[in-house]
Amino acid sequence: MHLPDSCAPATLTAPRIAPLSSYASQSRGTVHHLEAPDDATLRRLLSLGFTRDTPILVDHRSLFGDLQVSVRGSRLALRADEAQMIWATKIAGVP
Amino acid sequence: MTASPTISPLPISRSPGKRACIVVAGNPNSGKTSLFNALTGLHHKVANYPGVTVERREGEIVLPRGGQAILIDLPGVYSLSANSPEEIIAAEVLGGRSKEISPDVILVVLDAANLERNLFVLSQILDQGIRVVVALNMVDLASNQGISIRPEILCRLLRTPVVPLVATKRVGLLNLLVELEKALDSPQPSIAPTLSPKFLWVEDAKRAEFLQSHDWRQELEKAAQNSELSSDGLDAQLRYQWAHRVAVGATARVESSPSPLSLGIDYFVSHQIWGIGIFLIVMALLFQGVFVGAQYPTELLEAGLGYVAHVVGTILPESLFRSLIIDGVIAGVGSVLVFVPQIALLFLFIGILEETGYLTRAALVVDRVMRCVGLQGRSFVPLLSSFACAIPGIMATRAITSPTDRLATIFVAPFMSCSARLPVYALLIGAFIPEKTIAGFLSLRGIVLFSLYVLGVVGAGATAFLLKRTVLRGARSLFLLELPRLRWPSLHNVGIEIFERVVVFVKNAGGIILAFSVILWFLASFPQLPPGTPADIQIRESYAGSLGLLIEPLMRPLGFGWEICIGIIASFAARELFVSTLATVYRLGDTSPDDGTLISILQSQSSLTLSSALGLLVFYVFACQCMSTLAVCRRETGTWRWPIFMFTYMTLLAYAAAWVTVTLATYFGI
Repeated sequence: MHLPDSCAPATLTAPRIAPLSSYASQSRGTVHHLEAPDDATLRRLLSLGFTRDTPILVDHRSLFGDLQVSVRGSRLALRADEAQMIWATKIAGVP
Repeated sequence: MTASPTISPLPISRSPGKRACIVVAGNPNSGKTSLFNALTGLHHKVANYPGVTVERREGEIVLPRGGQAILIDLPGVYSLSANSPEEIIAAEVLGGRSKEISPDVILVVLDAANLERNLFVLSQILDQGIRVVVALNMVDLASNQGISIRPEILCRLLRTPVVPLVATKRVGLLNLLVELEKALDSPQPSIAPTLSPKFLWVEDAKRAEFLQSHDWRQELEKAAQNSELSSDGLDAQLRYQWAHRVAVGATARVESSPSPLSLGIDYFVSHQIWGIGIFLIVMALLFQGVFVGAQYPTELLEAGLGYVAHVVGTILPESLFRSLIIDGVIAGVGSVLVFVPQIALLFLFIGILEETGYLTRAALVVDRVMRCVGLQGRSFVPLLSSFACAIPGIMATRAITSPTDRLATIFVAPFMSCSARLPVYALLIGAFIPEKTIAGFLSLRGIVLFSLYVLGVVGAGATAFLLKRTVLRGARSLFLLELPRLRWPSLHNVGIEIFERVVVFVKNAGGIILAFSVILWFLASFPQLPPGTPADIQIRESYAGSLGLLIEPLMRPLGFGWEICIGIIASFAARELFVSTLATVYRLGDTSPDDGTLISILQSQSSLTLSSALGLLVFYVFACQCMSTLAVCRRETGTWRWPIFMFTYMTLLAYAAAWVTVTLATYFGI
């Protein structure tokens, strides 16, 4: 079947919202929402810059799933379960 | 270049004669302490905030026109939403709620290479309506990264004075002092309230009306109800929007990213596998460096103290007073002072690692290992501090927000081999471990020393594992660590840290140890037997000898004689007293004609063999022989239950481990 140019496959264009823990090294995304277990954790994440639409670059993902990310000019280390609290919209075309 | 906003001067509100109070605030890793050190030099003291054990650094500065001000270095915070005790202190002071500290000016330190994130906490500080001066620190590092910030624009956007500087190179300090003085003479907040970020979400035209008639928090909550965000989320969103706008407006160019070399080093040192290997190598080198590097200065100090004792001996006539000075004071305090080079070297290496940013990477790589025993990477810095002294280590646990993690870290902190154990290790290793090299360059003594440190760490891990699976079960807390950029260390900062720690150690030696040395001299010299009694019989029949003989049967399975038992009893007050006690006991009982060092006396006269010396070393690794540590543990936990448990557990463990060591060593013919 022939698809018109304006109708690319949905998997390539639709924004994919996923927890940061699923991101690979060198992936990029923007913060969508936070799922923190308590207010203190939420405030800590917010104060470190994880606010809506903030760009995130995953610098390194370890074998165990822990991440090193760049957010607002600083590098942060997150455990895999902490990265699960941050839901981000993946930027298409990058790993 | 300095930038100041135009503010109409108003009368000074400070009462005459009262010294102004300036607090230094900012994000962690923004260079606050470097700036504090650069401004105060050695003219500062380290104390605690009243009622709590958060460390407070306070110093005096002289302003350009001759006035004086008190400068207080607050703990680093990312926001004023307090989580840990440090943040609570900082939030109280910055929010004007502290009863002890009422700042006249807040000196906010911003990292020029990370402006946007640093502006977040500034936005909250500006809301408090206290005069603010901004120190734009590390402009050189920002410039290396291609970031150029225009202070005059930043000043205009913030409506507060902005001073670009490089604290580690002492560049821009005079300008900063000038601005601080100006700010002190200007009683009104140096920001127009309508520019405060908390009003950003109110439309421009309505701001004036809003200011007069609304509670902003209520308004924020109302606005949050109409959005998808919580009030905290909306608040942070608005502040970061403001921070982004200010940062973009004040930044002239952004061209380059961190250097590939820096990224490459960072990749390896913070790697989950290579990082552990690098960490072990760094730690092994550190302890080798401490032992080998301190050898000559220690020998020099020993020779100097021997000379002083000799001179005093020739001046004073033979009497009890002469014995008190030489055998009590000089032998006791001197035996501890000779370990100053090792302590200074330990802090030199720790300081360099901290300054370069490696310690945070180390916390990251050991986090997974620490998680295996139920702790977290954040426990790493308190535990590393405990290598110097368990007391600041226990205090540093206040940065751990999880109560169960914090209690577990407090409990295992005394397992780390502190600087007070170092004299004991050095003495026993020097006396009983042969001076050999392995593989052509590794000192056997260095390896034994390193093994003792590792043994302490293993004991701590096993204990934490047990605690976290029994009495201290709890949910895991947030780790989330900021990785500061790798950089060259500031030798000025490292030097000040070494000076502070050595002074604390020497003060202890001069105070507690002097008093104990005199008491021990008395116990070891009385009751006086008839003149002509051999010195070794005199010491055995003394009060101290009787005490040692009393507990000797208990220690016999470990191979410790009564003289060693006296040392062990004395060191329950403080571990370093073991060395001074042995110095007093052996010098009083020394029947040999020459004035040998304590090491040679120990080799020739003590009851210890190589196997029992190893047992004694292991005993000291695990025994909780420090009253100050127990007192701080009581204060931090709020109950005597934990320090009593800690003391009992560690003492029993020390005895059992020493017995196993002696038995195995004897079995293998060591």
